[in-house]
Amino acid sequence: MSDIASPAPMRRLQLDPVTIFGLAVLAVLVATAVLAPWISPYGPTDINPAARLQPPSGEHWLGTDRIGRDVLTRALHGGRISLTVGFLVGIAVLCVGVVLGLLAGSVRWLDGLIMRVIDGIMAMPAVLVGVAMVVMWGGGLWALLIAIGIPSLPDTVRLTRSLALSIRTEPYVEAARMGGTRLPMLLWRHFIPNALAPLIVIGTYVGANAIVAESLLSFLGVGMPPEMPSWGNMIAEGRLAFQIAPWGVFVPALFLTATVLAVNLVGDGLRDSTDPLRLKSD
Amino acid sequence: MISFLLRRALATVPVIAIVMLAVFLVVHLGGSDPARIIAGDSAGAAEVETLREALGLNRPLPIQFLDWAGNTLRGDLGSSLFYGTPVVDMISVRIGPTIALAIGTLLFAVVLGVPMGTFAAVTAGRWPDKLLMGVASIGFSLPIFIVAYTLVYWLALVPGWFPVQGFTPPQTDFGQFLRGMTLPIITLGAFYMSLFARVSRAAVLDMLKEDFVRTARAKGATPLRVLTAHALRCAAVPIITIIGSSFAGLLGGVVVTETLFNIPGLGRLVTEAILKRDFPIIQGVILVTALIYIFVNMVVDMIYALLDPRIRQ
Amino acid sequence: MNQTKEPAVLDIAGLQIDLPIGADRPHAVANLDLRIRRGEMVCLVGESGSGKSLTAMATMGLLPRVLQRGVRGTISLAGRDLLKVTPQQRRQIVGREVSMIFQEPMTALHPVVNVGAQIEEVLKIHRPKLGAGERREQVLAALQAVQLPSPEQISRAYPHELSGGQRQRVMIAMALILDPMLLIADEPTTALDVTTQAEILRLIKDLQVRRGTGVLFITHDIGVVRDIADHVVVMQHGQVVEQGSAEAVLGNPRQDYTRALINAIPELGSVRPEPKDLGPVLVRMTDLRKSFTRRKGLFRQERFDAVGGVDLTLRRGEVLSVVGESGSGKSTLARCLAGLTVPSGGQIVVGSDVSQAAGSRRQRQRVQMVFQDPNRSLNPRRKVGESIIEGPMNFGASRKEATARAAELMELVGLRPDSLDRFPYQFSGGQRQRICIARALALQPEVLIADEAVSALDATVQQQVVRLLDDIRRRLDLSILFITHDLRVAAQISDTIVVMQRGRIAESGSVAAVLGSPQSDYTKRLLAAVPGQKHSFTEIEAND
Repeated sequence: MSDIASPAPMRRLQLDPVTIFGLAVLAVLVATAVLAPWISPYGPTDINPAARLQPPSGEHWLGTDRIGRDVLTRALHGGRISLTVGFLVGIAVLCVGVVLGLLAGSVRWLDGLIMRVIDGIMAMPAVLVGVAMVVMWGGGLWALLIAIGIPSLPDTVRLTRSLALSIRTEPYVEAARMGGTRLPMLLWRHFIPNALAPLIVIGTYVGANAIVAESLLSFLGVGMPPEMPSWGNMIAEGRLAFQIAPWGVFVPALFLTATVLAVNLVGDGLRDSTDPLRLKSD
Repeated sequence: MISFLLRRALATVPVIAIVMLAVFLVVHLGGSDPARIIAGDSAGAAEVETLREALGLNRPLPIQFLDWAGNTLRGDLGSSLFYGTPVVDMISVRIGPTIALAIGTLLFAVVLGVPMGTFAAVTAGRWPDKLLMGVASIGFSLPIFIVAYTLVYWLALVPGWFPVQGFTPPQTDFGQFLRGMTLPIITLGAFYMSLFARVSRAAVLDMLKEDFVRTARAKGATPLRVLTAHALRCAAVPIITIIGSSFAGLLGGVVVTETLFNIPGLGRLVTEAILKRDFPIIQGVILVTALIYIFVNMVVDMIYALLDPRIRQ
Repeated sequence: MNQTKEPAVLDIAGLQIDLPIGADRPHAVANLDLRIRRGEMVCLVGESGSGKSLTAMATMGLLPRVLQRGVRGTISLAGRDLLKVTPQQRRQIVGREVSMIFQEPMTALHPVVNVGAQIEEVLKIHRPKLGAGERREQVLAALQAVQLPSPEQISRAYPHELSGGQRQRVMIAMALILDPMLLIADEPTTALDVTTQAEILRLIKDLQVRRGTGVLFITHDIGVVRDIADHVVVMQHGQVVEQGSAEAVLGNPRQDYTRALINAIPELGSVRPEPKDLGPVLVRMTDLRKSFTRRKGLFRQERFDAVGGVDLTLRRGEVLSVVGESGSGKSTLARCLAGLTVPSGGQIVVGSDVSQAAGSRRQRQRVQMVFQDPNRSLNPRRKVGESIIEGPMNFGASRKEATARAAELMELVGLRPDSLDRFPYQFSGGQRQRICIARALALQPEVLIADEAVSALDATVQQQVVRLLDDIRRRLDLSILFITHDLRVAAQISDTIVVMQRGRIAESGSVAAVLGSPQSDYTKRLLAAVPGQKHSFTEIEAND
């Protein structure tokens, strides 16, 4: 018997300025990454021994590295790798995680098994397992993606499971069951629309996490092949001349931070504007 | 209560089993052949085969697993392929700095992050909240090696206030030890401080909406009393949960931080092992950190039971 | 009640609470005048959205910040305007001179502190000079005063270890420990079972009379008002519709709205006319059982029978009410019939078709259900039309047929057919329950289960929905299994009443038989506890 009984209106997605800023930064990063070959006059692997470790100048806006490659060009190309990794891992983890979470939330005997495996994954430091997997599985892009993705699974699985458990007992789902709706349609019509918002939010965090993880593994020397201009590789290399040419580290670092921050800001904004709890209490 | 403790302790058994299985599979399901690695690049096929037999690597995988698991449970994590020293000994020599860094980071993050989040919750929607949460958003998004290089550049390299890298054992010179640990702790702590601040804010904000907080106000309690005796008391459970479950990531972060600052802990041990493909060390370190995590989370659950009588049943 | 000259304990004059811009009306409360004298019980009665709770919150200074800014008028407690005092002064007043109890004692109590310490906190705040021993003594005395058995033990218990009634007694002990001149009670018995409600009402009335406390009692239930009020204030849409002495307002209401409120809850005696001939048996439950297991200790598990051997028949065209308090198993019974829960034992036969197991897809179509919570029974992300045609389309209807049928059903339940294109949030609670009825009817069921389907609705809306169900039953020759905790609602619609207690049937029979000459003690107790019967609590006053 609440006195303010006005039903929560289903608001259109309203984004605050910070989220829009995040989206804008992300859009610029994506655009420059896609257009990198046309933006920059240099190639990411063009070596110019004559212009080694040069500070930022009109010719090399953000300087050059130890073998005279243009830092800005490489950073832009690095964006292609990082954004692809973030996107692919985000999607893949979301798909696998949702399936596992739904299984755990609906099949009783699988629940215990899946959740113990998830506990196990959570117990192991992601970086170490990633490193071990890449080392023992002989590197390769797939091993890397799996090594990055698996540690992100637990959050998605746990979220999906709890959503499944709570949505399953909603009266509208029970009404649909009584109306003869079978499981696939129950999921499609009732679960997905009501769980999509939180899942997308967690997807953004997984993506951001994957971008950081890729750069960490690359930095530790077990990530992308060293000749590829990934941000992690650039930082690892720049590190060797850090005292003379700090831009070799700071430029890719800045790109990395901007990307992760932008993705997280977008995730936070989506969370705040689609949070079912907030919708209820407003 | 005792039944709760026992049940909680028993619940770690399947998780430990799964971690052991995972660690084993990471090494043995991959394409690389441990015997090949041990024998070295110059060894011939026959030599590798002999070695494989000697190590028992030609037996079926389940047998190998049980054998390895049996040894592990007895406290034998095998020997380094490169040095021949038992892995347990190598870990026990190197674990000190790691623990010091982990605990220091946790203290730093909790002591700053929880009050930050609480204050933000109290001022929700106003400028202190926005400022603090802005800081937390940035801290949450900064990859640790970026923090590391920024700190090293502006606090160590340029002004020379702190050592750029290295580690002094506390028993040698405690002041130097602290100075050496400061930058690594801030490096790793920035992320966790932000994480704890975000979680604390959300938890306190949720609690402030609860009916029992309204009851406390109706009793005439001061805002401070409402916050500490009522809201924080209940928000503690979700906050401690995050502290516990972030411990695995924290140990992973320690590995990277040690590499960045050249601290001779488990992280350096592992990164060296990676270069030499010395897998028993990698396995051993993962296993040890996972056990630490499982233990920490068991303690966390027991703390819950102390904080919240509803969980005891 | 003839102490007219005594100054008012609470005097609210011209109270206005503005709503934020964009709300459905400008003021939550407008121009409210209200006086409570020493030892007087004033009932503030109204439906949801009437502004009655906000009035209480404004008095306690507990309004949300957005509303706090838009408060005008005066609220004076023994001559002091509570709207003008500083926060520090207010904190010295609330908890000591005016205190409050709430609707849901479970959430109103701190979950992880024992209740003794929670009561003691009031003393720590307002009597800082008191020693620990004295505080302890006073806490125990307060628990004693609310008639809790073994106060020592209760004081060490946590809220989750107590029953709902015990928790509310603890709240009352906490509110009254400093003997305030005014107690505000906001729907304090709404979340409780009816027998517990009667006990708590008796306790509050008793303490009010004995201690001379002024009480502002907020409720939606005219029956409760009838039992306890000295003075009644009726509110609607933030305004006072009518106020006066309890006899005057209840006995001779001057306003239509007050009359509607009173008529919405019929007295138990006004049982519907003896029913027409009932059809053949449609549902037969034999020895139905449902048990759940709970973990206890390390390995032991405890079995608990939610439904423990129930036999029940439902005839075509019959409305059968299953009445019981929380934990009686009435909802589990309904869920077994609906096929949402698999029974642990026994048999359910629908129609003559024994081969159809309960819960089979075919049988589901014959049994449909309307749920309790109107906020959750429709998918918030789908248009209501989609929700209604979902079932028929599962069973092979084309979209066009199903939509045409849905439009007819909307008219049947009293909504406009164009409502099909709208989303659930665009409807009120009562309208949503109508939509849910339409959704259930879309499958042309033979049995309709209404599981507390009107419990969350305001009394006047409740009455409309009950009438609608009755009307539909007659037109479609439906059988209705009506699950409710409220005997008054059951009396309005049923042919037959089954009273359940702890998973078993305590008594069953025709409405007239069960209500008129109850056989089991439990039914007698339930009937005696129903609020609003004239016998009320006047004996208490006589005793003092």
